Amino acid sequence: MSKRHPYVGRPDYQFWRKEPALEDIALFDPVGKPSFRIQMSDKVVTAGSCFAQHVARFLAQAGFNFLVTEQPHPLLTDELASRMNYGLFSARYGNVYSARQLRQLLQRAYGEFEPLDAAWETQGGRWVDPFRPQILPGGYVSEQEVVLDREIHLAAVRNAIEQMSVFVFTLGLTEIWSDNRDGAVFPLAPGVAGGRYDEDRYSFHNLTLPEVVEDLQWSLDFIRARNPDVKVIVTVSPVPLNATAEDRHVALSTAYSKAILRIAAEQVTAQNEMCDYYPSYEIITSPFTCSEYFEADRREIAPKGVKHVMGLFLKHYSEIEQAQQSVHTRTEQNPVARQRVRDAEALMQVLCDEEAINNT
Amino acid sequence: MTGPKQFGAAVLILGESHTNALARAIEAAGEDDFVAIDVRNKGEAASGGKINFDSFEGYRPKHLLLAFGGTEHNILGLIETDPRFDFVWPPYETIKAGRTLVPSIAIEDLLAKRLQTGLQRAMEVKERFNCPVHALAPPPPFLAFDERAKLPSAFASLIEAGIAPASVRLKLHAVLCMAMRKAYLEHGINLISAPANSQDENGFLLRTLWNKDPTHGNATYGRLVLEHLKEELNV
Repeated sequence: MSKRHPYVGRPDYQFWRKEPALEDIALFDPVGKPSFRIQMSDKVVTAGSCFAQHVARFLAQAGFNFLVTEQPHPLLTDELASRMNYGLFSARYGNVYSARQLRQLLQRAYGEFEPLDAAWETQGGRWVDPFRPQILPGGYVSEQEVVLDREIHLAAVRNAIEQMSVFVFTLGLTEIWSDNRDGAVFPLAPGVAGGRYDEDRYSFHNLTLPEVVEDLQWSLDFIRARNPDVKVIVTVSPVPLNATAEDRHVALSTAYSKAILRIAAEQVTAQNEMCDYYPSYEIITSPFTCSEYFEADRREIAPKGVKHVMGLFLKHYSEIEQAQQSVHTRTEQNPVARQRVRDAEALMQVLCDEEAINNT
Repeated sequence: MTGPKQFGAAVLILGESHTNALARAIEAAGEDDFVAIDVRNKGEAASGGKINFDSFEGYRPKHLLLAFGGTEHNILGLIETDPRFDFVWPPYETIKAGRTLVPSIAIEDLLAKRLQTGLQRAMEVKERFNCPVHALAPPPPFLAFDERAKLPSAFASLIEAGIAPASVRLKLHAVLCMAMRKAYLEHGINLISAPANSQDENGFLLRTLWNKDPTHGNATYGRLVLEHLKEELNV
């Protein structure tokens, strides 16, 4: 005997009215069945928009093997290293908002693309890297320093790509600013955090669905050509746009952007093995969570929202029942080197004392 | 009954280890216009040295010259670190092969923080005077160790790591001087650079101006500084 209709017997999660989050938002769990698990020994690399920073921090604190290939020199204190964005992501690429930016980061790391804009001067006379203009607060002292530090950075990107077991990428934006001459895409419009806005040189573009899908698929193919076994998790940032370059309300641009990114993520994860979509976007923005996970500015994600997102991540993807406290510090320092600096300080005092005794 | 000492000459130099070269030069030359005092409380010098305010009680100079700190660059870079580092500081735009690049602004930040201790002591001293106040930059870095150079035996274990190359030490000294200039200016105090004639064409301290200890000048260096001060302060 056939079913009365095709929904008969389907699981509760397919029905809105049976969602337990209607009683308690903490019970909201739209994740579904992952196609793989993350071992604690797996090297996890994260990249993406600002929401990806939460992902990186949480993974590190939960005891995952959060891979950081661009480490600070032991001279830097933890506070200073953090301020200079070491350990924010696996390498110091800063926010990678769009799939196009990810694609070009990979191309630049492997020498397949060398943008014409190498460094931007700030109003204060310092310099920034156009492709991560806020990575070094205060800026670089010269164009040459930008170039030298970028060489180190791109080597760290290559190491991350080739060593990682799991890649978590968070799609953030479709709106991009690029150089008309070579198509180089910048995370921030020229003039915002360095450089000079020139309408003839730079232009705005809002990526379409086919473009995002192509850029994301190209990036995955590029990565797997160098690291075939890498598992991939794609997420969409729930953080609304801060501003839009389109002549319309920012809420409309946010809806457009998130729709494109969500569909692109769906398409790409559907056509790739060991490549999952993780619903950060839905956990934060769904009516089931009643907008309770946004801060007062209705944009930033509250810690309890991040905790919900990452708690489910641990539940579904990790080998452990709950977050471990064995934090892998993101700036694993060389304690011997630090001790040497302290010893030098103490001994310099000795030297200065002896100077008072004998230096004639 | 004797009252407090009254010093009416031109320049009183108060500071720490770097004042000793000046004191020796003053003594050797019988200078009347200068007095240099290492104000560290000797009993506590090894722990950073608190100020012995009695050591300059009663002095009423026309100019006060502060010579505090000035070794912070050597704390960071005299002894090689692991990994060995280098940084860019215009006009020195290259780094030595095989060394790890550290962002220049990190070096600036580290040195700016480290000089605060000396600056704070300098400001405590300054509060006691009403005359014009100046600060003195540390001696230029040495070029290289040679058979006459020697560090205290306590350095033996550290020295195995090696001495940082001259180019790195030169840059560290430049950053320290810039940071000192900026920090003292915030207190309305001008930093007086080391005398140009104490340096070789590349900016290193002339070999004749230091003896065994490469981080401090000798009495001859002190003599050059005094001559330099006479010009700068119009004494």
